[in-house]
Amino acid sequence: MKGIEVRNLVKNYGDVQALRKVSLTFEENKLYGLLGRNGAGKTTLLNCITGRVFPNSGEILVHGETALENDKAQQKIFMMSEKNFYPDGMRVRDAIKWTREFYPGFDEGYCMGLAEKFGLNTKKKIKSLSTGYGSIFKLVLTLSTNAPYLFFDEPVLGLDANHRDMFYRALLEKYSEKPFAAVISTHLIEEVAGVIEEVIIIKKGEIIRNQSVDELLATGCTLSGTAATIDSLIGDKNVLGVDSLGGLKTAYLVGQIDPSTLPAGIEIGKMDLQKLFIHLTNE
Amino acid sequence: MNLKSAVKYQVLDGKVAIPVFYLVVLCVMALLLVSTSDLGPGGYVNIGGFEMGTIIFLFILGLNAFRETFRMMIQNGVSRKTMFLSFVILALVLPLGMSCLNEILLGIGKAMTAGNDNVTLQSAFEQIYAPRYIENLGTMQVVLEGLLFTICVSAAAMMLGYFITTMYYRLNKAGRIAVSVGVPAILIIGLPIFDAVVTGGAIYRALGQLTLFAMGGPNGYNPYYAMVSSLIAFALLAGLSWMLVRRAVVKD
Repeated sequence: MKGIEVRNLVKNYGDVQALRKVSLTFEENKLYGLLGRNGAGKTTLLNCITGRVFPNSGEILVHGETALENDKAQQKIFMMSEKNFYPDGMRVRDAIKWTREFYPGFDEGYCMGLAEKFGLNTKKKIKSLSTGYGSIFKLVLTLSTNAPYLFFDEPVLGLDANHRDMFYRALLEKYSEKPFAAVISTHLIEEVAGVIEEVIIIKKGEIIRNQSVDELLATGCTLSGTAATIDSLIGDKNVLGVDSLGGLKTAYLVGQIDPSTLPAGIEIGKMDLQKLFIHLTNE
Repeated sequence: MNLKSAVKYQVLDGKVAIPVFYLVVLCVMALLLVSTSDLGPGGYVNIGGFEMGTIIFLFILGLNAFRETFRMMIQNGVSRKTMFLSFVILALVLPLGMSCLNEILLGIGKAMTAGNDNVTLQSAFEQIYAPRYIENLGTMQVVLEGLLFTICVSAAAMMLGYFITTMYYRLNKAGRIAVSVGVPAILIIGLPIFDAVVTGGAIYRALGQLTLFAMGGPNGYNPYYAMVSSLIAFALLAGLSWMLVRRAVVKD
């Protein structure tokens, strides 16, 4: 069985249940968005898979082999963490050298090229990098490993809009050249919505949605038009939210509406992932 | 593949510290040789014990061999088993290499002081086990046994450092404070008082005898006792360290 299988994973921190019997599969060559509010369990899930912390119970398999304490399985995964795991005195170029040592598929030429594109100084000590460049360093390294499963935990932390755009482009370019599985754990849902194919929403340690973005967005729709008409249409509907601008209104609704039943001047559109996320993860 | 890379990482992690250590050793040796070159009539000095520096150095290296390495290796998909094994290999290879270098340096130093009757250059091993070598000082037997002695003791010292650092890593803040305060308090205050008041010095006498036995003193200054004792200590400390490493998790 290819892919990463997580079965009934439980992780407790004292009295806090960080993961409650989580089961999911990360298939090969798919781009996943792992979405959840702060403290939902996103990082804990990725940390369990990469063996940084131990689950209390459950099973994690990588291509059918147990992931815990298994070098062979772990070599298939590279995780870019929000935190820095590199030694204090290490320079960027040394980290590149050592990642190449541990990941034989590492593409040094690509890495140096991407570092140059981002303006990353490889002579600098990792510790001295700004928050943004700290993220860039880890992104560049992660994309260069050529591991079949790449985990990005808050990948665009501290990045300006240009660098965020460069990252998404680099990710998609790399993916189009040679597909891999990427799991992007982030709060910036609007940005990532155009990149991911599959979405996993985690709430209080439980997976509440695990489906393709298209399927998920098909569970709702938006209606746009004049405020008065929209108000008259949404009265009996499950409304997730409303945006108003002047006399125009956009309503986000759960469920689908037959376009033929709508009056003239009303536009029906795709659900917004962020709105849906807020609705699904609200208390 | 991973083990090889992990060992390489651990070895190269000390690429600055080891040359600096030997630079200091060479400077100290040179300084001592220069300062003792003209002692005048009747002047005599016995210089030695450089391998004690190696033992302390390797202990400190062991103390610094866990936290950063653990995080770096976890980041690079290395299992705890592989990282522990790589340290065990390091704790055998480094003492071997450094002990050989010590013997070479000692040999050079001895050759340089050969014509000077006022200066004797000896290893700590030769000083401790002098009674064993009264009749065959300077033979290959002394060199080989000294080499084995330093390898075994420094490997145990390195593993002791590793055990201490992994223990501190695993303990929570309260535990670290308890060990940092409690152990010295027991060893420096509690135990001596208890020994003097309650057992009439029996504990420290027993500890002294045990140390002497472990060093091979009562058995004709046999260094093989010390080697076996060190290897047992190495194995025990390695076992305890593994129990700590195998469940270690990354901390913020």
